[in-house]
Amino acid sequence: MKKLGFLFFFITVLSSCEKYATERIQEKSVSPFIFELPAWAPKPVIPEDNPLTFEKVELGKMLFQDKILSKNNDLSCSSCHNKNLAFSQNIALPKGDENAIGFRNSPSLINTVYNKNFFKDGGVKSLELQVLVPLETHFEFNLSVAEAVERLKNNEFYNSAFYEVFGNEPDVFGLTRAIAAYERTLVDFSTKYDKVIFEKTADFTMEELIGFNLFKANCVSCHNGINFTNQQYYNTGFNENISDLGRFRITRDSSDIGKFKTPNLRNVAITFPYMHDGRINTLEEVIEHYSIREEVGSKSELKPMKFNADQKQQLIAFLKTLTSSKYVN
Amino acid sequence: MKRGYFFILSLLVLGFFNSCKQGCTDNLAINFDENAKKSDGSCLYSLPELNLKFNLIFKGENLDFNSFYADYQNRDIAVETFRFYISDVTLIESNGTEYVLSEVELVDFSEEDTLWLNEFTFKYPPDKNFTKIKFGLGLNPTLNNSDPSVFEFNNPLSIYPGMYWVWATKYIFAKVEGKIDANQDGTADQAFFYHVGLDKYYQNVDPITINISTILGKQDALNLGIDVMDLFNQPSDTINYKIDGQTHTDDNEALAERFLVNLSNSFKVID
Repeated sequence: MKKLGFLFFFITVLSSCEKYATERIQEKSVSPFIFELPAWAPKPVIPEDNPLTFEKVELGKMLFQDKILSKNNDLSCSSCHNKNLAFSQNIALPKGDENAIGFRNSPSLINTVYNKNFFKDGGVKSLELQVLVPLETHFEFNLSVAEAVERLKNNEFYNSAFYEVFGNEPDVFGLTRAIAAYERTLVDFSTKYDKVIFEKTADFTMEELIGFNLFKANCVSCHNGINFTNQQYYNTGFNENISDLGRFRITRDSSDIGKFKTPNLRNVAITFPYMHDGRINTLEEVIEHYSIREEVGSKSELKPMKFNADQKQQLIAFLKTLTSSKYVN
Repeated sequence: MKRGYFFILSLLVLGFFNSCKQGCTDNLAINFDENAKKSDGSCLYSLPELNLKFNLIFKGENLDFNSFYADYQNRDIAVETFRFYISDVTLIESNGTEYVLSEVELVDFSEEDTLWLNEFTFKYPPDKNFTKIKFGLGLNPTLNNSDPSVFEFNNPLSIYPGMYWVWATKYIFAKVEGKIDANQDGTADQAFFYHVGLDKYYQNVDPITINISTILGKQDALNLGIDVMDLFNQPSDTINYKIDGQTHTDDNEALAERFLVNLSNSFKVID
């Protein structure tokens, strides 16, 4: 009898002795967010622990634009991801807390929902975790997650909004889910390219068409897919004499030194300057780089493409067809 | 008169029953009855517990944070942060059977008001004779791949302990920081810090010999010490923190590995 009593107690204790709270997936908001996508566009994959709801996306949008998440209340996500520039920025390197200079150019966020991982070195594996990077990085928002969450708890509006969306007070789970949810909705397929290729409602000019053919012949081994990126990493010859080791920083594989992720080319004409550190100001200079890049002494994986002057202009004409109708002057 | 007899008789009966009161007579039981004279088999026992405490010491003495201590080269050093993950904390019986106490813990020696401690209590089964304890230093690759934003604030894997590299989505296995007063003039002139991690540097600490026999209701204590001087002066590798004193791992990977190896070799059972 004594043993039975003990056995019951033993089983009860062992089965309930989960020492720490486990992972949390909870939702309260119930209005599903519906993507307005053309039929030909790939269906975004939404993580199970962050279903898209209208309320959550709205909350994420407010957080994205709110300076409450920066140490000195002077920066928001939209400071470096300007809606009018396809959620990018037209300076080489972003300015963070107390004008600290970042070390990589701010990318466009359009169609980021299709990315497998994030940042130019691919070091962050989800949009949710991406939210933590600018928050905690000293040369960006420079604010600890704990303090950010406290600020939101002490803000009447956000406290109420988090209860509305997640059913509890602000926390890091809700903060990361809300902003990631909003970023996933930044989808656009309204370019001339889309109209010509997928919708058959427009035609390229002759110059654009020749540029498209040049692009297919020379660029698509890396710039392919719906967003013109294979999401792989390459050293394209821009890594001499700088400290940013690119993909190596994540993999610690010496063959990855100086490699950066192939960028999305949608809206490329308006998301200047270019390259991982914004060192090139114009598309003309970018194409010139790929045109004359010599292999001698370079770690570049690319062969010089030797475009002539006309071809450069034709390529640029094509690349301009990748600008969303929202941003075409 | 009759009433008086009845009263005395009642007292005698009560006294008789009280002197023979049955109940749980084992003081290790959770329902121990100090008045019980005879066991009735009703004892209930909590599981035995192990109190595992990590101790930070300096040349054999307890170390106080932020206080300077003289090292072997007549320099003073002070420790300001000392925090590390242990995972798969496992006791091993004499016959080799293993019993996992915990999947992960964050050991934190700081004296600040934090949620994380250097002392943990685990329940474990009775009637066992554990002869070794083993654990990993850092997080095994599965744990290291966790998403910190899904854990509540009091979970060691949450973002809150400041043990996560957001840019790499990986955890910092150990974070040790301090300062050096090279000429012992009372003023720190150099900082040292070791922020170390990466899957490939996860260390399996060699099993440490212990001797614990578990008994229902009994609590045992196990004190493991890390002597800061031993940490930097291992027989296989001496780390001169004045020269090799700073790594975020990605900027000095070799030093990060050396530090983790040395730390993994520094755990000792202390009284």
